[in-house]
Amino acid sequence: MEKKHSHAGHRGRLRRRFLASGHEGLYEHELLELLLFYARPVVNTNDIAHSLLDKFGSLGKVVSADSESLSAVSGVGQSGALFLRLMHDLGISNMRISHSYETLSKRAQLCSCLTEQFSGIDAKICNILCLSSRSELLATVTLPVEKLLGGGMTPRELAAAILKSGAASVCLGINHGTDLPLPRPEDLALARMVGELLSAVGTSFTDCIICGGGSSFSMRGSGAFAF
Amino acid sequence: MADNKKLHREQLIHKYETDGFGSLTEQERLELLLSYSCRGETKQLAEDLLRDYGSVNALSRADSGLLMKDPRINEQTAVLLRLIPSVSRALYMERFSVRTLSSTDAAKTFFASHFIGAVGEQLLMTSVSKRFRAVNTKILAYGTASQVMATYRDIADFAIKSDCGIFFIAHNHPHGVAQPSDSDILLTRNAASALSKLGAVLADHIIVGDEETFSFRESGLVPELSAFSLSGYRISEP
Repeated sequence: MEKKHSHAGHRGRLRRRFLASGHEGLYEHELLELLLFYARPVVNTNDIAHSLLDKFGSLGKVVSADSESLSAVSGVGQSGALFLRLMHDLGISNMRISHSYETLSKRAQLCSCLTEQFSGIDAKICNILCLSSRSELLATVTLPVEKLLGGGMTPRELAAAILKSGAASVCLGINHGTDLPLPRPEDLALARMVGELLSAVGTSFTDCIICGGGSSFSMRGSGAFAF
Repeated sequence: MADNKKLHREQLIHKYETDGFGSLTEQERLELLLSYSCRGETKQLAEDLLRDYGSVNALSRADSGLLMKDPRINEQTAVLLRLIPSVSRALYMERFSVRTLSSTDAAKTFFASHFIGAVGEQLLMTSVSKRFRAVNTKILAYGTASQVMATYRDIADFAIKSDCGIFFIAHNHPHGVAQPSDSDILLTRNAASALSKLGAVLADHIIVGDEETFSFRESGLVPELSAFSLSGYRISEP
């Protein structure tokens, strides 16, 4: 029975590696294995991951394969196929603007990117767009405004999240849902906090854009704020 | 009570299996997803998370460290949420999958598939190997056609950073015909001569319209393009 635990901690290690280094840090079969952990709670997922990749070719093809041919692969089963389908559907709905290599060098592009990310969302959230030196979108971090202002996340953690993405500059987007995109006192407080943090860690602050009711307001563009 | 929860999950799965993804509300989607990584009740958690973040997509971009401060969110859940953009990226790469662009027809299909679901105009550039296998594709610009003038630098930049010597550019005309405008012709001419100065070749410029697709090399509209004959790139008969 002890033998069963020779791979104990394998799942945890893989998960932590993913959290630390993200998509780039893992091989394709490891990403697939990571997915299979949820569908197959107790079996050895490594073999399944390899046979899926052998059969379909790539991670993208595996998740977009139809349920019948997926469940035909030994170890996947119907529930596994259903889970992969769910991840596929969520992935498709996530695709939008998230990871194309387009550049966001103009204010209008930043505004439209944020408006699209916030579309249909009413919650008080802010998106931190991490941009490379050539204004490519490297990562987006979504945070609830209240948690950020209320100390749910320390400045140090926020700085860590931004620096991890390798951002050269940052654009802050604040969601006003269906309200008018006019700056509120808490928006100013947030922009000030983020601005101070960014200047402390040597990252430039491109703009703070408030989105709401289908339009957007750029603090830098308005000229009324000290940028 | 435990049976109730189980029943609820099975109902969700059944609804998903029979009526598809579109029939689930955002909260049901999240509930179902969370049921793979959490034990017990996920309804309340899904509701709370959506109140804070608004949507599953926003949640998938959330900072994992902050998420895990909620005692109900374990490492499994945080990883599962982070996997959504990862899967979506794999699907995106799939759409931009390796293809051979050895004829104007192949190039047309290749680029037409890239503009599926594209919002607004985009300018793409693709590098291909000597055997016309697509190596890398990049969106150079998006917006209106008048803006593409600013992108010669990007074209040169892409060409220099790439190991390939043959390039395609393509853009779409959303809700329009695929006929080239004057500025499209100018862009093709300039891009062809810019690339030839860098020792590279512009194989073709494809315009994807609503119903048809246009190839500059096929049309022979731009003499600079036709000046370099490209063996291996077949011009399809109309």
